[in-house]
This record gives sequence, C-alpha cells and structure tokens, in this order.
Amino acid sequence: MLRYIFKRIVFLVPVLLGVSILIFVIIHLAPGDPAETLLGPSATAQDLAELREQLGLDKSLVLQYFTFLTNTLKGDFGRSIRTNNSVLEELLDRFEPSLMLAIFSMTLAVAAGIPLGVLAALRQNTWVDTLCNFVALLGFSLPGFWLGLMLMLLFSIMVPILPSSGYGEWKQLIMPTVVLATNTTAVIARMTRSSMLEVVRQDYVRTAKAKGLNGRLILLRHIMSNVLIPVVTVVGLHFGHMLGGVVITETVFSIPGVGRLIIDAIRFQDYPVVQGGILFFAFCLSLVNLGVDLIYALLDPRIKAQYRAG
Amino acid sequence: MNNEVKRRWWRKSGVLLLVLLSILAFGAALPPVASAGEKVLRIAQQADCNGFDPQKITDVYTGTLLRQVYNGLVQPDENMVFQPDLAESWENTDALTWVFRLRQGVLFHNGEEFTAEDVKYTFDRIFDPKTASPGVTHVREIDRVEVVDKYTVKITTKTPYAPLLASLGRYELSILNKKGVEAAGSDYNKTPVGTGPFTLETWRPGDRVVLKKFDGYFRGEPKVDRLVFRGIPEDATRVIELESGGVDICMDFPAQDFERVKADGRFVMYEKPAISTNYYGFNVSVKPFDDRRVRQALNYAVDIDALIDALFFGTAVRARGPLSDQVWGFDETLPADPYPYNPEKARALLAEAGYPNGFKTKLYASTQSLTRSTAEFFQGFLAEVGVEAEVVSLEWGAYLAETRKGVDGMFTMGWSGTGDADGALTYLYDSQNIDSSNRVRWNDPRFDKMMYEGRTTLDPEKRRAIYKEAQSYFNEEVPIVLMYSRKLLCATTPKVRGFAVWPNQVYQLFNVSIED
Amino acid sequence: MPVKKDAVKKDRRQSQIGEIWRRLRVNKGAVAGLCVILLLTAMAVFAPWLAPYGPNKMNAGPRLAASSLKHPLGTDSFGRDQLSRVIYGARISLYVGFIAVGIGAVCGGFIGAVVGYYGGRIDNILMRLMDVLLAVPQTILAIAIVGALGANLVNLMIAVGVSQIPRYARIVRASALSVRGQEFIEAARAIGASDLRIIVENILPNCMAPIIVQSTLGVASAILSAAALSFLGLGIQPPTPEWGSMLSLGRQYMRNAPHLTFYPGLIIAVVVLSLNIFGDGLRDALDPRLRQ
Repeated sequence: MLRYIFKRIVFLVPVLLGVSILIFVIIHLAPGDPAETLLGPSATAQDLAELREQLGLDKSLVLQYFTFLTNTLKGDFGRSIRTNNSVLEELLDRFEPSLMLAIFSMTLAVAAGIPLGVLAALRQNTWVDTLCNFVALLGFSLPGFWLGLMLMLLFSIMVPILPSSGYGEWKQLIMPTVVLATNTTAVIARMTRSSMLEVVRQDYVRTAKAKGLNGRLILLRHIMSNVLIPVVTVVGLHFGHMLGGVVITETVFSIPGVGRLIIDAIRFQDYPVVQGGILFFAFCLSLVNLGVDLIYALLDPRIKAQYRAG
Repeated sequence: MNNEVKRRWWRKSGVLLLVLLSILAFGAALPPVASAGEKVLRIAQQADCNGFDPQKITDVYTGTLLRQVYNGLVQPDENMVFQPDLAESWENTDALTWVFRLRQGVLFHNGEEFTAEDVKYTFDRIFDPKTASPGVTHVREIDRVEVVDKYTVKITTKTPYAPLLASLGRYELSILNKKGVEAAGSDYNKTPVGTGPFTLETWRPGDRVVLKKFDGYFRGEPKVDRLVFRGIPEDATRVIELESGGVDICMDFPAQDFERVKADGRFVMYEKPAISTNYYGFNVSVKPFDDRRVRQALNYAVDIDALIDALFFGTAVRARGPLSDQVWGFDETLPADPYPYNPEKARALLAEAGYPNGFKTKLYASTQSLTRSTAEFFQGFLAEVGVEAEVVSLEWGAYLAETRKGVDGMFTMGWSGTGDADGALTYLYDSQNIDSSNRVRWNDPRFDKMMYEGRTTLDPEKRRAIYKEAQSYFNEEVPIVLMYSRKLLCATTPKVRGFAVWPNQVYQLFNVSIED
Repeated sequence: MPVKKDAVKKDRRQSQIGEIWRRLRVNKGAVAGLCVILLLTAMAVFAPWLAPYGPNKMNAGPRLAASSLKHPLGTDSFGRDQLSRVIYGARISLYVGFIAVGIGAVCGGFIGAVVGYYGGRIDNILMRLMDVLLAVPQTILAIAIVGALGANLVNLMIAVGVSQIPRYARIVRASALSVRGQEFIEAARAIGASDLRIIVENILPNCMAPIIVQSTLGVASAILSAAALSFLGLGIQPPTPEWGSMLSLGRQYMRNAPHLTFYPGLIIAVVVLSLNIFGDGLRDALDPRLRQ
C-alpha cells in the first residue's frame, strides 16, 4: 500500500511539471506585462524598463522559467507583483474560504444526492423516478452564476434574510454552498440511481432477500457499500469541478477565495500568483484523486488486495 | 449478525463523524465579528486593498486607506484646497526653492518622532529606481530635498514649478518613517508605519482591511475605534450590503440605484463632481485623426448627454473642456456644451475632410464593463455618421501597453491628476509625455509652450490666464472626444456624522463619527 | 464487388440508425429535448425574421423597461430590445457550443485514436499531456487561455474546445485499445490498408456512439462554460448579443430591472437542459444495456 502511494506521488511530478510549463507559456503569450499595470498610465519607457529588469522580465523566457522552477522547488513561490505579499502566504490565506465552500458543498451534495438517487432507484420507472431524474438534470444544467444571482435576488432583496456577499459568518455561506453544490448533487443522484439499479439485480442481494432479511437492512448493508464506490469517484472527480466552479461562485458572492485571487491575478498579469495559484490547484486536484483511490481501497477489500499484490 | 459487516459499518460511520467534526471545527475558525461596546465604522468600496506602501500604489481605493494611516506634507480638503498637514507653513525663497516648516511633536505609530529626516527619507526612497514607484511621476520636477534643521526642509525644483503643492498632496507622497520601513523589509506593504489617525490591524486580501485608532495622533483621538473597509466589486452587492445593514458607508455608489435609494429616504446621499475626466482619445498621429475636422466631426457625432443618461443616469457632468470644473485652473467661461450633438454637422465636416462615406476604425476599451459600454455606445453613434467602428477590448495591462504605443483608432481613458490644471493637461497632452501618459500622441508646440509657461509661472492669476487660453485652444484642436466628469456618489446610514466627499476620491475619515 | 459491400454497409448503418431512432422515440423527454434544440436552432437561423428589432439597435424603447407588449422581455440599459437580443444570442451560443465541441472532439478523437492504435511511447507521452490538461480545472484553464489570447469569439471557442480535448481523447483511446487486437483490424492490415485508413474506417466508427453522446453533453457544457467566461467579461465582446455577457451587464441593474438577469439565464438553462436530456436519451438508445 505504501509503495503504491509513493508511486502515485512520484507520478505527480511530471504532471505538475507539465502544468507549470503549460501555464508559464499561456500567461506569457498575453500581450502587455505586469510592469504596465503596476506603474499605471503615466509610466515612462525608462520606468518600465527599470521595473522589468527588477522583476526579471527582461530575461529570456527559458531563463525566466528555470528561475521560477528552481525557486518553486526550493519552496519559494515568489511575491505577488500586485501586493508584494508572499504568494504562498496569500494562497494559504485565500485557501480557507474556497476549501470551506468546497467541503460544505460536497457534504450537501452527498447528503442530498444519495437520498435522491436511492429514492429514484427504489421507485424505478414511476413518476417519482422521472421527477428525481428531471431535478437532477435541471441541477446539472443551471448556470451557477445565474442561480447565484437569482438566489441573491430572492433571499437578499425580495425577502432579505441572507447576506448577499462576503465571508465571515455562516449565513454568508448558505447561498454560495447551495450554488456550488447543485451540479454535483445532480451527478451524485444519477450515479447513485444507476449503480443501485445495477447492484439490486446482483445475485447476493437476491440471496439476501431470499434469506428473508428485511428490506431496509439489505439496503443499508449490501447495497450502500457497493453504491458508495462510484459515488466516491464522483466526489473525487467533481472536486476538481468544484474548484473551478468556485471561481464563478466566489465572484458572484464576493468571497475572498483562491478562485477570485487567480482571476484577479490573470487580469493584473500577476505572473507569480497565477503560476503559484494554478499549480496549487493542480496539486490539490491530484491529491484529491489520490485520496479517492485510497478510499476505494478502503471500501473495497478486493482492490486493496490488488495493491498488496502489486 | 455478521461481525465483519458490523465492524465495517462502524468504521464507515467513524469516518463520516470525523468529516462532520472537522467541518464544525472549520466553522469555529471563522473570524469573529467586532466585539460589543466599540464604535466601528464599516465602509464598502469598489475595490480591494493593494497594500500599504504608498509609493507602490496607483489606485484611489487604496489611496483612501493610506489617507487614514499616513499624512503628507500638505493635504487637500474636501474643496481641493491644499492645507497644511505635516508641514505647518511654507514659503518660496526664490522661484526654485520651497522651504517647509514642519509640525513638531508628531509621533509615528512606532513611537518615533517625526522630523525633517523622515521627509528626506521619503523622497530619497521614491526617487530610488529600485523602489520602482509609480508615484515618481508626480515629483519628477523636484531636483533635491535637503534637511535644514530638525523641523525644516528645503525642496528645490529643476525649473520654477507652480503646481508643487498639488503633487505633494498626493497619497503617493505620504511621509514614511525610515526605521519603520527598514525594520519591515519586504513586508512593509502589510506593516505600515505612519503618523495617521489609524493603524493597520488586519488585512485579509480580497476581503477586508481593519484599521484601529491610533491614540497618539497629533490632531487628537479619532471618533471611532475601528474602521472596516470591504472591497466589493459588484455594484448591486455593494448597495445590498448598505441596505441590509452590512456597512455604514457605501462609497462608489452605483448610479443606477442612486435615485431609488434617495427616494427611499432611509439613507443620507452625497454627490459631488470628481476632479477626474473621462475622454475618448484619438491617436492624432495617424490618419484620419490627424485632421482636425475629423476630430471635431466625431465630437459632434456622439450624443454625450444621452451617454451620461444611459451609463450614469444623469450622475455625471458633461465635459466643457479637457478639465473637470473641480480642478484648479478650470475656465468658467467655457461654453456649457462646446460640441452639441449634431450628426448633420458631423457628416458635413467629414465630407469636408474627404470622408463623405465615413471610414473604418477601431474603438479600444479595457474589459471593464463601463468602458466596454462606452465603446458600445460610441459604436452606435459613429455608425450613424458612416464611421464603422470595431470594438476591441483588452485586459488592463495589455490595454495600457497598446495605448502607450499608439492605437490604430480611438481609446478611452479616465484621469484624475492632482487637482491642478497642470496635473491633467501636461500629463495627457504635452508632447514630452508621448510614449507615456500622452496616449493621443498630440504633438503641438503651441500647446506645449503654454504648458511650460503654466508650470513655471508662480503667480496664480497669470497662471489662470495661461490655462484659460490653453483650454480654448484645446477645444478647437480637440485631440479627444470630450466626454464627462463623473459625480462621486456615496450613501451613509443616518448614524454617520461628519462625512464628506473628496473630489479626488481619496477620502479623509478622521472627522467621521457614528452614533449609537 | 466493392460496390455491393458498400451497399451492405450502408444498409446496415441505416437500419442501425432506424433502430436507435425507434428506441429514442419512446423516451418522451429526449424527444422533447430534441424538439427544443431544433426550435432554438431554427430561431438562430431565422433570427433576422423573428426578432422584432435589430439586436444592437439602441433606444428601440425606453431604457430598462420591464416586459410589455412592445418589448415582451423588456429592454436593457441602452434601450435595446431584450427579446431580439435573446433570439440573436441563440446564434452565438449554439455556434460557440458546436464549434468548441468540434475542436475538442476532433483533436481529442484524433489524439485518442492515434495513441490507442499505436500505443507504446506515443501513448505514454500524449496521455501524460492529457493528464496535464486534466490537472487544471477546466474553467480556470479556459480563463487562462482567453486571458492570454485575448477576449473574442474565436479565442473563446478555442479556450473552451481545448479544455474539452482530454475527455474525447480518453473515450476514443479506450475504444481503440479494445478493438486494436481484434481480427478485423488484423485482416485490414493484412490486405495492406494504411494505418490512417484503419483508424478512420475501423476504429473511429466503433467509438462513434460514445463520442456522439459525449458531444451532445459536451455542447451543453461548452455553452455553459462560454456563458460563464462572458459573464466574467472574458468572453465575447460587445455589442454582440451573447447570453452570458447580457447577464453580466444586467447584473448591475439587478435591483431596477431584474428581468435583465432573469431571461438570459433562463434561456441558457433551457438550452443546456434540453441538450442534457437529449444526450441522456441518446445514450440510452445507443447502449440498450443501460436501459432497463
């Protein structure tokens, strides 16, 4: 098992390296540079040249990349060009709201998605099933930014019971959590339904039923443990989706998370923050994927056995 | 019951419980709300803080924060008259030399006493190329700064420089403390040391800045214990925060909501024209904009009043020339509307200039929604006189770079300057600033000469006369489409007292109090 | 001889399509979804005839007016007719959706087929590349690409398309891997068919079903991504009537004119929902094993 984890972590290295190159190339393709935004409209060519030299922007791209790479490997992500704060510090600062939002949303999505899916499967091919399906598809189709605005219109303007923006008290997290969870809830519900239908038809469930165990126990013990595996997959895969969705949600609700940090940084061409931020995202995503695989093993002894063998 | 199954079930519940607990723990870690019995003034601004090193800042939102933490030698009051701040008085011993007598007994937040050395250090630092300060643009005319004695400094300019006070009054020239800066090193942006009424308590980037009152402030104790600044970029959200009691002062109040909230009567509304002007510039160095008739034609072609109505719901003032009427040197005798909307005249002028069927051009704008809307608006009006314009919008950095080089068409910009005529005209239209702030690339020796004279003449009345001439000449040549000056809109709850709008958008909140 | 073979193939394909259609027809939701999509496509095509005003005509009515007979969906801050803009917006959104998916499916499909067919080192390198693309959240990748290339229609389609490549690559690769060793491929190779021909004639048709399903769903997600980017101001430039940027403009007037945020969002939701329902039905129809 440890060997497997180690192997997976080693595999991360080339991927992250690739991400760093990709992002580096993309942001340097953009016209203009941070010197312009930093010095503003009244800068002279000389001011700009001096600042570029100071920031190392006058060096060749390859050299700039390697400087960035070596610094990163030393754990130094540099300083934000806009605020001069340490990038790592800023990322960690802004990570909390994003992470909280993701965790809350994921919890909500699981808590709402699984029952919805179970319900649909139990009442397969009835109107309940159709309705659950439709609700799930609807959740999958609503644009998050629109849903956010509509909720805001409803709960902050028409019936003002929830704060419209910011981060600091639990009330402020309700609407963003719902918005972010919608999509994932839908996917989890559908996943739960289809895997439940598959499991129900399998022999051991029939056997259990034949043995006369009562229906609810069967559901809990046998089905759920098998349904959980695909759900965990979805949770894992969707974590990345959420991290992306967080960008929009944070913008709509003015939440000071990593997503907004990266958007602002892209706008400002704050290279160190964009590079650091996206690498950070990629790293988190990869870790989550690794975590998902490990939970698999935990849930399914057969997979665990495989790892042991391999 | 099967033991194995049971154990697995428990294990799973355990994991679930752990997840739930960690969520609760996170919830507990949320930042606390202000404690009771304290006077806290909460302010919503349009933008987030960019740091507390004044020499690194280019935006007025952060400028407002700096005003609470620092002082300058002089500072504008809410009518843009420059008043003594850390300097008590000043005199010109000759055309090039300014002697400032400093206030005594002023303390920095770190306990150091403020002296002439701090003034010198501040200027040395801003002039140092390593600082790479955008603010250096306002002090380029200064030759040297010398310490005469502990409470006297002498500033010598390269040529006679009349608008010096206006430059010194900018937030970039907030006075720093050498020890404070050096002790903090590269973290100075978040550990500022000033002489102002408030000190920085917390700065959560992207969210809020909390300032705490400074007991040793030389003008006395501030009237509130804490200032909380929140940067809320969304217009609608900013207003909702005010209405739902989330903030006490809403700066940068959106125009579209102003009348409604005013009619509502629950809040105190403020409006005042800004010193800034917004314009749509031509690149006059390229065809067809090198022809004055084309430039005049396009000034006639766009209905600016309609634009003000559409974008600002009337809360902007039509530009009568290159300067806002809040700027020192503005010519009161200019016609109210130098280029009234007149598409026929525009077409006639275009035909005269050799473009009876119009031409194709580009309208550059940044991606900010207001400038994009302005571009859209221009596009509509230009089409009516046969000018087919394509809107090109670029991110701010790229936009600055492109417009600096000179665009193949027109671009829009806003400029606040220093509150002095020179602080707007020289930057934007003097040929010495081509490739920098003169983005219209206007190179007119006659105008340049007027600028030089305006700068170097110390007598205010003579200066006024020079700028008067410059403005009417400018209106004839119009290297830009004259647009508007915005009115600054703010709203506060009735509990807020002593609030005033600063036309340069850099607010001083020392006098503001809040009632229980 | 070859003529006859082709005819048989064609025949079989037709009967296959017929069979799929029969299965699809039973699914009322999918049919409804398809109808909505066709309707919207028609709306996009006939926009100039359907729209009561020009989409960019300013002062077509009073500014920020609520719904009325003259302006069923109201007007925006420029006095432009919102209904006309929504109708024209269908052009942009569908266009972006289909082209972006086209980019994603063609590039991804090609990469997937090549790596699946050849395997080995190419497979390793290209799939690691896909891992790199997958390691960055899609939205953020698209934002970075648009930010770099500049905000306009073409770049938006590229950004959304590129971020979709990996999923197609994976599907096609999987199919290619599964058929690679099969007899008919060996046979084709034996009669001297070129690699390209084998890929195009034998491998691609075998993974058409998942690709079609994925594309339908992909168009839905591409429309969403494009709208999201425009909403952030990184998408299509004004005054082009694009739903996402209409929403973004309307958001400023949420208090005075909520209809400006409501309708564009609603239509995005309807389009995406229809595509999703249809794609779902299509999946069931193409893969009867899933349907019980």
